[in-house]
Amino acid sequence: MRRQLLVGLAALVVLAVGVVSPVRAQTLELPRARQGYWIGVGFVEPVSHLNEEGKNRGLYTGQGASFRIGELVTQRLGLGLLVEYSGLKKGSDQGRVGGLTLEGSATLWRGLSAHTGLGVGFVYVTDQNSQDKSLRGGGGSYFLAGASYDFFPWRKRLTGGWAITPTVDFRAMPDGNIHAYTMFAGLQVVWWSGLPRKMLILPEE
Amino acid sequence: MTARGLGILAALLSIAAAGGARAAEESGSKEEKEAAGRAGEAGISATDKGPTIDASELSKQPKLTKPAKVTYPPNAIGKSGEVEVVLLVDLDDKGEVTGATVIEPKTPTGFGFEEAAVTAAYSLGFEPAEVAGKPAPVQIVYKFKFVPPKPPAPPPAAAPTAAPVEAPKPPPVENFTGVLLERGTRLPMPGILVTVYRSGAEEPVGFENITDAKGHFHFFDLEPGTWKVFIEPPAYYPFRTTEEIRPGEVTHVTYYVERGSYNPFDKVVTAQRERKEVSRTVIENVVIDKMPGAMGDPLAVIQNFAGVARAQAGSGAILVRGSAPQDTQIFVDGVTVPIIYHFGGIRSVLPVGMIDNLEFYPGNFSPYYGRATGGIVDVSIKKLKPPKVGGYFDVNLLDSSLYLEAPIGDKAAVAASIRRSYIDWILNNVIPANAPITDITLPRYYDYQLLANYRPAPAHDLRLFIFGSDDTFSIVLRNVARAGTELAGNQISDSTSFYRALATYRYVPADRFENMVRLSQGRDKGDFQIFQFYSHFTVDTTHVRDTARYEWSKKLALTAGLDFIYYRFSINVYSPSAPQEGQDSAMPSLTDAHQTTVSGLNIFLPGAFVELELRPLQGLLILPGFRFDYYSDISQATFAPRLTVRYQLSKPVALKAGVGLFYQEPAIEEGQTDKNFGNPDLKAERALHYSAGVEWRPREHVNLDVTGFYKDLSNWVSATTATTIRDGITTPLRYDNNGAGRVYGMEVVARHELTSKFTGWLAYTLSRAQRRDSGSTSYRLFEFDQTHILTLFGTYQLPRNWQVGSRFRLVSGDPTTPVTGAVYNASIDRYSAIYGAKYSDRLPPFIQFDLRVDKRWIFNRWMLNAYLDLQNVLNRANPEAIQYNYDFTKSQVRQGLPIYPIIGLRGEF
Repeated sequence: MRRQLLVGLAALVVLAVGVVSPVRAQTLELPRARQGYWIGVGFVEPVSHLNEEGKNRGLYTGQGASFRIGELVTQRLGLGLLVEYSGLKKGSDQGRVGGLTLEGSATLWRGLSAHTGLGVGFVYVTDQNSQDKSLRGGGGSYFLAGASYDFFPWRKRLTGGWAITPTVDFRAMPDGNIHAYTMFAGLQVVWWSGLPRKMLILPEE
Repeated sequence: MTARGLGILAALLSIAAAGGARAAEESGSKEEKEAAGRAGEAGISATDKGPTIDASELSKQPKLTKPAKVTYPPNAIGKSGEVEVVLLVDLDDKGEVTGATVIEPKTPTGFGFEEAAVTAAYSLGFEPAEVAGKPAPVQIVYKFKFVPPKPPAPPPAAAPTAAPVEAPKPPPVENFTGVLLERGTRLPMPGILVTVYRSGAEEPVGFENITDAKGHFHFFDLEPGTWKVFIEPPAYYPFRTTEEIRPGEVTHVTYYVERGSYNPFDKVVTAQRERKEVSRTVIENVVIDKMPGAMGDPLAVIQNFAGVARAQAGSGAILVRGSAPQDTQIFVDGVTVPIIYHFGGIRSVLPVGMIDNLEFYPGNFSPYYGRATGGIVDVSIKKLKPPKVGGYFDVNLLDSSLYLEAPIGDKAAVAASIRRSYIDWILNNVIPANAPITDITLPRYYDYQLLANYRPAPAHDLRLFIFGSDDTFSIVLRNVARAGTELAGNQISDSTSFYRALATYRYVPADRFENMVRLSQGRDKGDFQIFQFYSHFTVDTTHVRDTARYEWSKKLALTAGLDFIYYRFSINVYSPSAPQEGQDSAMPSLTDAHQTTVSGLNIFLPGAFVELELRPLQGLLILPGFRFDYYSDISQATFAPRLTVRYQLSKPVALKAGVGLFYQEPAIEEGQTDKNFGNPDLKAERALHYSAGVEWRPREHVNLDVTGFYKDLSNWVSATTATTIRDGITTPLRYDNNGAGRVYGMEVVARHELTSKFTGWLAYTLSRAQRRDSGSTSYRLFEFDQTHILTLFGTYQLPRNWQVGSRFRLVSGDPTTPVTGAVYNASIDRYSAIYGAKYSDRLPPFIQFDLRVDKRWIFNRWMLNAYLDLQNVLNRANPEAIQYNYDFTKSQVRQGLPIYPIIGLRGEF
């Protein structure tokens, strides 16, 4: 079957602006830096308040690493996973805290986003000066609330790119022998994949 | 029109006329328009797609909103004249074309008129038809008329010395062709407009072609050079690319076009069969697959229904309206299966890929089902009709499975699946070498399924389903002395396997009559060893069902059937008596052990049922029926009349009520009718079900259902200390039929039915289940009584192929029997508990919150789904039972599972 069309100027104009049909189930987006999947790694500095079987153990500090992966589901809402692991120290007490969190994020303004989530975490401590060096603590529910800001200092692409992202997270683990309430401050390097061209509103090449 | 949907045969004259008229407009002839209109009036034909109604019952006829153009096939020019193609077009309840079949011409033209018409039909758009104000799928007759193009105008008159006659044009040459497939599913995309264009220095030029039924498109005589290709189907992301056309070459391409959303809910046909029962819950496989906390397991989902009590973690029990687990029958396509769960209820033996849906009846069920006094779960196996070779593989922390399906021609299809656990491999690496056990065969299960479907003609549907499973577990203890002085041996093992071959033949010779025959044959095998006690059994099972339905008129229909089961038992057992409900199950009397050996015991369970469907008034449905059963092992016949009434008070409100008698034989598997373990003179237990309720549908997909129920249990098998004289010897009676029970309560279900984005429900059950033991005059709480059962569930489809779901459960704790003291028994060197009033105490409530997230990635030829199922997110220490120390002076609550994440991957292709 062959048929020549009156494509002409009318069709080309329509194609040129990239909006080819008013009826479309999915929404195309204008290109932005924060689009598509994100994957980030970085370091964190935790300050953790521990409470062991009703006894206040005070503040512990340490260093650790974080890994974050997810996707912007809409232009504002993101879903992903966050994994953190960090050492803790206070006097002769040494320990570790971390977890796997299912997190949702909401873009508030430009690169600023708020995070919240829940998952499974752990906290363990041991007294290095004690004869009993067995680990105390355990695992349990892990709750997250935090914020981050994505800076794109080297932006070269229409969509996506590399970002430097300072993060602040507050985490609570109110289960087990040791309850941990931890503030993480960190810095991540995040790669945003951007969206494929078919999902973008682009001028014709 | 879907197979499960409402089939409406409609002769829609205006539509047919509109189609014909539009086609005729291309020719611009008044006579042709009239002819097209006349031709459209002839469009009535039979259909095999379910019950039909007259077009006159439509409250609104479908209205053409988007006509389609047809083009005269180039290769027919000069070889054929005017051609009419009449189609039977299926429209869904959105007015979209879902199928088109050529009615005329009967003999293929050979020039592609039929293909062009079918392709064009998919471009048609309609406002949907309506029945009683609700959109409904219909079939319409639509006619396309192909009119040959007018010959070009003759050249202007030439001078007498005119130029020589122009040579005829060469036939068009195809030089760009391709196929359009949906990304991920590889399904062909028919009726999609493909545009090629280019704009160079000269005037812009473009061509278009519509894909045929197999997604193919063709372009002819494109000039060499670079062409832009543009495809933009509705609900898909636009597809743009460029192709280089070379002189003398044919460019062949395959394009994968990505859908905006790969929502599994989109595939679901929400039209369900008419509600006839007082309480029925149907859940589709896509909801089962994504439910938080169920890990995609079909039967784990049942625990979220109203009327179902929470079973202890790992028990796999289904507790319906105050009934014991064995009081609820589980069927697969209407036939019985021996076990439905692998070890500990962690997985059912059927994967979700083999399942179409699951129906659950908590009481007052149809006489089609029998031999149960509790509820019914009927798992419907998939109606196999795969459009292509495909399947999935699933990998998670418990097991891995592979499912494959393939069409065989147009009339047959086959599917196969296999699954194996790897708990044994994981535990092998976790159990330390110095553990007090050795020679371990760690828990391992596998299951397999084979499904074949053959439809030689629309009236005949043959299916064969073969499935089975095998579970094995074994350990040998190093130091048995610690286990107790009453124990001998050092082995604990459990091996269970079964298979079933189920053949089904459905014959529907006419709209008013259908008959279905099912024949199932299988074998169950079990070997248990716990120290010196053992049980080895083999059961051969034959289950035959024949169900016929005849509809005399719209006001009267009859369903009748036979339901015959034959068991052949061989068993060798040495064991203490199984504790009866209400007895202390934690401390069986190990010294009271018995042995029995039965070889080739034949048990016949013939049954028959009849049910009438009466509709004497508009909106009123009365279903009187009865069921007859005979139990050869207890030599008893039972007659169970049942009645269900349903009245559609107004469009959104329906009233319903039911009363019926239900029988069930004593538990053979617990030896209740064995002369050594029980009482061979036991008779069937009896339950009288009453229920009444109201349904309110305030919005299209929202349903509120409130049902009150009462169950009166009599002839109940109960443990007794009485004795009897058997063969001249005084022996303990052990059990008699002097027990009784009653269950009453109310169920509230608010459900948002499955739509393209959301489904969810609130199910609340308020109930009280009581039993009266043999010899007692007062009722006590039943072991599984749970006063309040609240389940909130919802799952929502987000953009970018994400899905989130959550489930919240709040359930009253199980009743417990308090221990008031203990006495030392020197003969067995053990303390024996002194119990207080039976089930007079209760565990704290059970609270659990689960969360699940799914993400799907789309590749050209397959899709990958990953999920994280976080169970017991709040890490609540839920109580399951109370454990005591050796002298019963200390106790602690045994807790259920803590928070645990399940991660899984599924690849679909």
